[in-house]
Amino acid sequence: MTNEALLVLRCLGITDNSSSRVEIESLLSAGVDWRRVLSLVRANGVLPIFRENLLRYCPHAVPRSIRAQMQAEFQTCASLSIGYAHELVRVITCLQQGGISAIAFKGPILAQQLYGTFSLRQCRDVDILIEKNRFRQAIDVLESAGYTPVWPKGQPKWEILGSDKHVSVFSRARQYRVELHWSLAMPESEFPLKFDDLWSRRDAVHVLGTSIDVPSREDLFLILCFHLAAHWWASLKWICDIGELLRRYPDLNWQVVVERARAWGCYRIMLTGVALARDTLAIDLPEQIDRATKSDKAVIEISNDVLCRFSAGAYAPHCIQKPLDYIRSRERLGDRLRLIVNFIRCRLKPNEHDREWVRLPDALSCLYILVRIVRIARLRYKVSVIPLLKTIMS
Amino acid sequence: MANSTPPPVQGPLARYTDITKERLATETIIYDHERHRVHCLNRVLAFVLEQCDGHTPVRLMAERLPDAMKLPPDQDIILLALRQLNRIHLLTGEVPELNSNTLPSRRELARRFAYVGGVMLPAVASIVAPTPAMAGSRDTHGGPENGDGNANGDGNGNGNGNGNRNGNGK
Repeated sequence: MTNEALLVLRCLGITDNSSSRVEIESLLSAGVDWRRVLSLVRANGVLPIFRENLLRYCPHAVPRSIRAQMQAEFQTCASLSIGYAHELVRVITCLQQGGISAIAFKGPILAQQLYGTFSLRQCRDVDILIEKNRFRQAIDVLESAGYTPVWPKGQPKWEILGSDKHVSVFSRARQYRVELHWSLAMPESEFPLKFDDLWSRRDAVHVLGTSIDVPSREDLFLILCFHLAAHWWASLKWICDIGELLRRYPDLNWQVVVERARAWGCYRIMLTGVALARDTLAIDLPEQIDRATKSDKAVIEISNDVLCRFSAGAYAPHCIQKPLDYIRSRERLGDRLRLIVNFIRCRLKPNEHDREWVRLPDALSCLYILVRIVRIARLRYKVSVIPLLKTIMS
Repeated sequence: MANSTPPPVQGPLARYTDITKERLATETIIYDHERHRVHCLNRVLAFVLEQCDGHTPVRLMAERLPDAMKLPPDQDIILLALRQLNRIHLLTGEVPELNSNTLPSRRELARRFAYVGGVMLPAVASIVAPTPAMAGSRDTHGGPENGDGNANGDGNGNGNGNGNRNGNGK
């Protein structure tokens, strides 16, 4: 692993009791490419916590210009996170007044819950989960409060309830994005946790004087592990969230976590999440869990791939590797087969570009699958076959 | 019978309305909702702001500096901090001590304390609070969730933006 990548990881994992400080100082005295360090922390969404730990434990080792650059970016991140926190309170208050139960997760609420402050976690939206059958009512409530939903093009707007997991709504005044979820995962992702289950086990967190419902810590932990997997383990920010949760809740009920993970078929996803938190942030795991991560070949392979990608500065696996890694992270054969079928079905699903390419009457709309196959083949032909032929001919 | 009249203001008073305050290990972030500005206060300035409860005179604040901040008990450090806090509208009402024409500059203070190897003086960095659109808040990590992307590409957003920097005493 490069010195720059190591510096980032050690700064993210450092605590008052850890020995990382010595290692950070020796990395810094050996010299690092600060441009590369900044590029890594920006791309992984961890600039605030990286900067905070670096300035806290090794304040004199950071060049003045880098310090100024990080300061400006940190203040921008902090400003947005605080802005999103206020937006969260506004939306939750609207929904509560409209009689709609809502659970907040990720975004500013997670920052408050895990880091104790909004500024240390970069937020780019507000995520709120509601009951699917209250979705239309929630949209009405938010529209009347000045929010504008953004509907997907090329399909009737309510059809999105069957094909996606959320709709983005924007506050007109400050352009903050709120993702209104009716599900925690895309329909094809095979994650069975439902609103009613979350609601029955919910906790509450106080944000800016308002009590907001959040998932229980065991549910939250599994949601974070699943979210990380659904994004191909592509960002340190989400690994930090898992690590921070494990630090903040040392009394996490592992028996419940393991039971639920097995029941939902995401045991391996959970193991991969904790293995990454251990390997990147030096988080201590219970012996049984630690042993389980070390005996699962797929967990080891995925974790190693993620660390290699991070060190190389690549943030997501290659196109075809994404679904393959995701399928590999599921332990049940049935889930794997369903994911493969879903993947193929999803790739063949016509979108607005197919409908714009050829316009068919409604009666022939089933033929859009063929249109899509031809269009994609043509696209791929232009992108890969023609250059290949030209190379051969030259 | 208890007297319900609040005690008279004897010292600087911090503003409590329309702000969000976040205390970190090395600094304090203040979001001013009224002026849409974000201030990053170093530890010394944050300490002085916390002392501004309306009942603590400048002299007493200075006496607390050695214990709290390991700084000399110099009233000029407090005055420099108060001037900065006043400039970024985090104080309410008048601070009579700031009307003097003999307030030392930051440079003079830095020179005065140079003989002890320099001390951390009050400092603030301020920016205009960016909207998400201004900041380009879609960071680069991650892409659309599994199954979301099709042949038309997995879009990645751009990086973090920088707000307008308006340093204050840094």
